[in-house]
Amino acid sequence: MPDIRQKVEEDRGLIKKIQLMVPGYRGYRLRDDLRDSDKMLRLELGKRLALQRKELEEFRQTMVTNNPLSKNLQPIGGIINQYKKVEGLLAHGESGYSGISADIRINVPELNMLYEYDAGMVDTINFVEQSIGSLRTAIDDNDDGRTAEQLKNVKMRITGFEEKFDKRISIIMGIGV
Amino acid sequence: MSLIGADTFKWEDQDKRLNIMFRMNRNIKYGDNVVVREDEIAAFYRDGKVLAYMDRPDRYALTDLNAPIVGKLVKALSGAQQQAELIYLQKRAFDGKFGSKQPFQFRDKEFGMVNLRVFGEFRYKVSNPENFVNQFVGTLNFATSAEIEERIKEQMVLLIYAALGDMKNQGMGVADLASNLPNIEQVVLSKTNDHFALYGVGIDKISGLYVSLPDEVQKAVDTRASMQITGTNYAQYQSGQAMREAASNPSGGAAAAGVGVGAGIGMGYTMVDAMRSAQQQPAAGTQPPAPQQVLLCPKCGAANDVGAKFCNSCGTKLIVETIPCPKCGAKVSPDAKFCPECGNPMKATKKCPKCGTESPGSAKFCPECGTTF
Repeated sequence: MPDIRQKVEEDRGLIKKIQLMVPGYRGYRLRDDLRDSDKMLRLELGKRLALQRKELEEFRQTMVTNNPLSKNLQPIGGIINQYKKVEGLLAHGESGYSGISADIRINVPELNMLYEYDAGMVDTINFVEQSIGSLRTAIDDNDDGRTAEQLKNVKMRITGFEEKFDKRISIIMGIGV
Repeated sequence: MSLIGADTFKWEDQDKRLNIMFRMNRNIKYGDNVVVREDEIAAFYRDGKVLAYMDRPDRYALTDLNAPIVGKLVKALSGAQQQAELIYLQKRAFDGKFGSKQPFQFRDKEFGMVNLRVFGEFRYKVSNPENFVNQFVGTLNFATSAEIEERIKEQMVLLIYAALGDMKNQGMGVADLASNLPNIEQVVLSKTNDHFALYGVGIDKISGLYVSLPDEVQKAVDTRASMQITGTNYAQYQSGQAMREAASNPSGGAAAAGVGVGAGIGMGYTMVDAMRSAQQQPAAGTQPPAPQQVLLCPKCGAANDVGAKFCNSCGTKLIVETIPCPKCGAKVSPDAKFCPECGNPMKATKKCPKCGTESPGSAKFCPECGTTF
């Protein structure tokens, strides 16, 4: 996976380079570039989730065609809505900030940690994706019982992803319990 | 205001009231302080990006480039001025009411197709400030709790209908509705998360849920409950009712009261006989009763005596009452909306004192907002 921080650093234009030399502006520029890198990374993660959601929407379409009275339609609708919620959390998540004289400061090292934490979420997305693969097999086999089981599995994993994402700020601030 | 232009802000109570969110009405300057109370969350945006959600009560000093020297220098050189904003959200729960506009047709095993209406209250709060600000308020431009409630309440009715459908499939009937109201509330609550969490709204509680039955079904449910309590069958129950009605309607005086009781008992026996004869099969060789002498129940189709007030099989009221038209005096069915003689509107309407919606005169709750009349 590319390191977006490096890319942002390499692509700094003339104005940004001048800003890095201005006293009082340098710290702002460095931190804001890191926040931008993290935001780009989160948007990419959100896109991965959106692709998974699209796949789930296709599954729902298949289920409607095969068995419109299936009891699994309601759970799959709930999971799709949960995906939308998590995509929103990723897109609009906290960027990592502390004001003047904050109790716990978020500086460049913490912002780097935040980026790395978010980058580590890719593995969790892959883990969720595996369960979607199993769900696909169950739906293709038109096996309602196994589909229900796999849907529970997907829900459990996306909930796990959401919980992990919720903890990011408290973990990098060192106050997570 | 300080020498560098910074100030301390808080969400004033007069701005708060029923507003679920409030956007600070000036560009945040370097060093501006914001006070976040126990029941508030503040979202700090700089150049359109959210930097922090401040959900702990405290006073926060904010940083940006709208500072005395750097900010003015940047503005003079490039013309750019950093935009820093603060949005407050209320953490506390709000109460809203819902009521069904259209009835829900519930197919019951005992009572057939029954029209149900639901009313109640819900309590909601901001569950995810991230999604609430950006996807709900931001997209739909809602700021007051009333606008948010408007969005939620129709969905709540649909969720209750879905819950009733699910519970009906598991064997719940109309007569079980009252005893299952707490369960219905829990089923609906479990469904709300899927519907509202993506907007950052959480439904905390549903209370005062009321499922209204049509009058005739309610009477039949009450009759059945009374029959179960007294351990009687329908004919016995009705004869008892007839006796009670006659006895409670004397013409006056102790002697007349005795006559009333006697008449009541007599009428009761007459009704039992009438019902019994209607239930008996015609004897072989005898002529079946002429069609005009039998009153067919409009609900179950059972044959009843012409004078019978209630069906001897299902208890449905058989005699159709009429009401006089207030304009021409013609006898009109109580269900008619207009007089068939002169076209005068028959149904009095009442106006909801809260939302102003016109409702039928017989309505107990406003179909729009659920207010009790």
